[in-house]
Amino acid sequence: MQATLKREMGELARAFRLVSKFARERGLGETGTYLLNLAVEEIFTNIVKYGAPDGGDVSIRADVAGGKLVVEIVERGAEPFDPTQVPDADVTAPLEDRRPGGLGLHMLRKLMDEMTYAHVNGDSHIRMTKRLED
Amino acid sequence: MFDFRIGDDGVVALSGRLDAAQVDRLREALGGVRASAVVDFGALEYISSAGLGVLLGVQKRLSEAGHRLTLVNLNHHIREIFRIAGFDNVFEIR
Repeated sequence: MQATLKREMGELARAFRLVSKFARERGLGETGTYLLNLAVEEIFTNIVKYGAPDGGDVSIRADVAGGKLVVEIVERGAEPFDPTQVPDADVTAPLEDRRPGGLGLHMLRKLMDEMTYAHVNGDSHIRMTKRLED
Repeated sequence: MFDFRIGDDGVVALSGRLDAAQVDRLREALGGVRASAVVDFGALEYISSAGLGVLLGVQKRLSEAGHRLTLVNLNHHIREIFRIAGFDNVFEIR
């Protein structure tokens, strides 16, 4: 799967349609399909909400290789922001101290086997992998 | 497509896919809840952090008045999401 999205929330529906088609064609299974949806949504919405307002398009690539789901998301014209270095959300705090921020990245880091980040020639590259079991 | 239905017994039943583009409809579903209530996830296929944020806000609002949401019939994937987010500490999940 390869898609280039404009940096706007309205593109999320198109991304989900492409994810769904890819998952169906590749027989991804329930877990892989859920994780691919989540990875695309959480990273893409973070870029739209918090990325450079004058940044460029967002490219999403997904593949299944060697029994692994591989997801790569490239933000063109990005300020450096390494999601692998964000402190874990405090998910043990009592209700009154809980904040919703940071949960998306927290969940992805826990659910994926690997997440790597690189900032190259002004673009942010996030790569995630997950070994598929179903 | 995300949808919800509020039964005569007050149970809020969620269905479909709850992504970032649908959270306003979740706010609509839970905005009128003023006392302890059950939210039925039985027909919900997908939720992301956007939906979790709305649920957390509603639980905080209700808890200030001594009330709470109880979440039932979560599928395997959503239950795992809730565990990782630590929501099993702040919601009763059955």
